[in-house]
Amino acid sequence: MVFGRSLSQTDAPAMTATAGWRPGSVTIPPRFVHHVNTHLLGNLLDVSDYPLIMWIVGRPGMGKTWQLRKHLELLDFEVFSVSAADLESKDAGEPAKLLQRRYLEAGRSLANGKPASLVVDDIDTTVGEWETHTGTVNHEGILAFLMHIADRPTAIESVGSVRRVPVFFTGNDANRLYAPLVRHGRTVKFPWNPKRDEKLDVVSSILGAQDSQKEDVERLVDKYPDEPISFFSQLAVARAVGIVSASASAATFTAVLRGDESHAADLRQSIRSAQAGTDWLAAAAELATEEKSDA
Amino acid sequence: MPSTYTNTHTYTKSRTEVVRDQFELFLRYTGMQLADREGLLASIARGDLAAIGAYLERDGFRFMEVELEVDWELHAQLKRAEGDMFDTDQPGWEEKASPEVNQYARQIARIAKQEGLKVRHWIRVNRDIRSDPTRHKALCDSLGYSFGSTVPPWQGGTPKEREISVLDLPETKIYERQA
Repeated sequence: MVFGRSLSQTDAPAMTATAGWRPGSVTIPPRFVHHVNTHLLGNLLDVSDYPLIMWIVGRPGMGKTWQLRKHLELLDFEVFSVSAADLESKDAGEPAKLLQRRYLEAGRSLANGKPASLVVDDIDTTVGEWETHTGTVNHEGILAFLMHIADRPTAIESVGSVRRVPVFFTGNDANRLYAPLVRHGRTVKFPWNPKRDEKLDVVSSILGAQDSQKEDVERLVDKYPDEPISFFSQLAVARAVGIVSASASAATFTAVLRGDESHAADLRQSIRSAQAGTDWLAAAAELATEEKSDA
Repeated sequence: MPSTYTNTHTYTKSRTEVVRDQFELFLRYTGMQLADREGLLASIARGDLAAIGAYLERDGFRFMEVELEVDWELHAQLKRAEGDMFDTDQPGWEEKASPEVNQYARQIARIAKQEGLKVRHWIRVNRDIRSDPTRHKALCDSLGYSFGSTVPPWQGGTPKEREISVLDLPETKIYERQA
């Protein structure tokens, strides 16, 4: 089974409420797009009682963060980000201040006519309620701020009137976040676990499969039904890089490691060629075996 | 026995002064003389200006530009949210300048020097003043800028633009444009 990368999928993206994006060579499932668009609309229209926060939760590697950011980018949204690492600091109060700053920045962007949203990735890793969690000042400050804007998205006491900004969280464990924050009315919980058809669409686009290769993709996905999307995107490149790496001379290696861009460009081209000729089923078997033996 | 002393300094200023400092250093690095800077900086301190651009032109066309912009409303919000004092003793800050202002202002000055060109400047007033032509004209006249004048067109049409956020001072932004 050999898939070639399709160059014909670079048409301008088109979207309706129920159709997904086909940007470049990657598909974002329509159901995902629909949920995110609904959240954007509810917030940008400042619909009373519509929750401020969307909590996209699911297994690692299912494309939550990537799809969200790609979709916002395609909608020409400016994404104001806070990473999980930013939510802890030796300086008490700084993370909550940072979160508030990003919310204000995004609000100003909206006020200036540029769509914007606030995205907090992997929020459960630092703000989650873990057994060993000791409830730091930072943790409490972040929750207090989030609770406040979830209830009053257009007013911050110390600041005054602000623009309402759609907020997205991503994370893996639906039960880790502070329950009052993720209750109805404050947060929309969106569990993301792609269905078989959605997975087939996404994997097909990642591998650049043609319509004639639909059955090959089905065989591949059905053979590894428990693997996340990231498994298939990794096999799309890992083997090709391995082949090129094995055949590169020591001189080429050294040149690339020293930052020689012309050698790097040659190797990237070789990787693309190797990818186009990869037997994906064999690559998947290899990746699965390697992971088992490593474990 | 030699003794060792450790001296530490924390440079704390008002947030508005820090914004003004970014414009001062931007203008100074891009070659504007002190006498020409003073009026502009007073306008910045009053919140009359929203942006200043520094550009290079060749044969009547612009080919490079750096713009420093301030969002006064976000500035006011951040002052209310975080307090008016701002610590400039942050990583990468040099001589009161944020790393971003330092890098992009010096970059256009360096290219001007290499090409033997003079950096030219334009100003953009805030929205309130822009909507009042009389006030707008009076401000331009007082600063020595021509009201309603335009800058040279871009060489080759629309330039490539990069937006750079000033990390520690989010109400200020830099735009780098190149033909």
